[in-house]
Amino acid sequence: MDASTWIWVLVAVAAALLLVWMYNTLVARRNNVENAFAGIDTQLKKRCDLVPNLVATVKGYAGHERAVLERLTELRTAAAADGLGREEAADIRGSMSPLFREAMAQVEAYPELKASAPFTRLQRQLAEIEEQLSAARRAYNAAVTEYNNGVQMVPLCLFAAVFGFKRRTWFLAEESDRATPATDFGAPGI
Amino acid sequence: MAEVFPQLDDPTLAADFTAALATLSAGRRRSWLWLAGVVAGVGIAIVAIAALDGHWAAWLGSAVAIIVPLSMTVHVRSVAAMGVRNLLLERVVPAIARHISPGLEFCAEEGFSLEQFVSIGPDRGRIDEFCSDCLFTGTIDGVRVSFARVLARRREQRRGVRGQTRTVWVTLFSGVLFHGDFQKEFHHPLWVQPDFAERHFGQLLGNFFQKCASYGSLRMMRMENPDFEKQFVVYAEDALETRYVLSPKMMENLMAVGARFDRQAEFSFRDSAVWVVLPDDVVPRWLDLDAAMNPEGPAHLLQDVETVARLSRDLDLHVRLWSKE
Repeated sequence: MDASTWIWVLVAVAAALLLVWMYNTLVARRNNVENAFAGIDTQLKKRCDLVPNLVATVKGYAGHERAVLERLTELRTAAAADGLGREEAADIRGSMSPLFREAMAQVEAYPELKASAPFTRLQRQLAEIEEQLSAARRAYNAAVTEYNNGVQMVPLCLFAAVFGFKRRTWFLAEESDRATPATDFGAPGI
Repeated sequence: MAEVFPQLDDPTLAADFTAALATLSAGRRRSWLWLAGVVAGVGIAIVAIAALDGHWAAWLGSAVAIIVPLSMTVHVRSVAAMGVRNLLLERVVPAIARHISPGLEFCAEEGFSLEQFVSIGPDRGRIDEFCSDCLFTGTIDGVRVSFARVLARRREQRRGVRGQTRTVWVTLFSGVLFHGDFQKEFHHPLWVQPDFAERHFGQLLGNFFQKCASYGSLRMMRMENPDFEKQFVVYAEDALETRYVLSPKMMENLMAVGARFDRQAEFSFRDSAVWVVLPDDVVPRWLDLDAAMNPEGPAHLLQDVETVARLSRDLDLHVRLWSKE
């Protein structure tokens, strides 16, 4: 082979390596987004699993808030139904947020329950999960930002469309999440 | 002095400290007399050596005439200072610790171990000399804390221009370490350091250098708070847990602490605890007892201890909303 052929071969190899690198980068970033989404789902499931605990703790006091507890239980059952997609299940679990807040806020009317050890423990667990959920959503948004930067910025954007990489949307707080104040944690032990 | 002692729980401390300072002052005056003796000894020596034409007896006498008053000068000064030093170590600083928090104790001879220092990270390489003292340990607002002075050095052989080798001690770290029990359980370490690279080389180059920096399994993570990102760089293992530890409020707290310490404080989160690394530059002459042997000394010591102790509140370590007890 003469020199010019060698040069063409080298250029072709370099271009192939560049393509592989770009493809792998996009795949890695997409996987990070999937992984971060799974992190949110895990926390939502953990919070969902607190429902029986919440019902057991407040059932003796349940008055007009019984409807909230029943709705929470229904949603938990719905999220665990067979044949449900991961995103659908996450949506259902995510929709439980305002109900959780409502249930915790209604306990304010029962000082005896609010001061009880099981309820305080439950409140702390819930606070911890909410904090982890918030962290998972922030991690998801960071992963989506990195992925979207790749999909929209040169040079990765040149191949993103060819390989079928599409923009993802950030997690945005629901209107109800913005409007409702957080549970009052002025509980003993703080 | 008048402002500090009424706050402390030792009623006789003010009088004892005043008396110790008076003794120190008298000792220093006496040492001046001995120093005058040294000058006289030098004069006697010159005369005697000249008169006896360098006889050995003249040299011997001269040596005695100089060494004895010189030793006495040093002895008198050190004995006088020892009294105040002991009072500061045994009563003043412990009383300051109790004043800051009844659960806080002071151990002058104790400190952190080399293993603890190494565990904080990052890897500072070989350490040939390590010492740590002036340990404060106990609870502040129910939070387990400890802080102490630390010095870590490495011995290196350097070659001069003529090829000769000499030993030099390189200071790896000198300053104060603070350790506090964190509110949340976490399993992966993360390290927050001042963003020197971006500050000195600009965002593009600085960011590149930061990404290149490797600290074992830790990799650089960008946080969503732009002000925090300007001030710090975060190295961590787990993206989710990093955000769990560095909540928006915690990032604000770290920025406030960073601003208080001239953007030089480093933070290491590991084993569900937080370490704050404060180099000498931001806590100069911390708990320097020699500098505290004056009427204002105890006030300065109180300020030194408070500067570090308030980290517990600055970082909201007492806020226990989560399941960790």
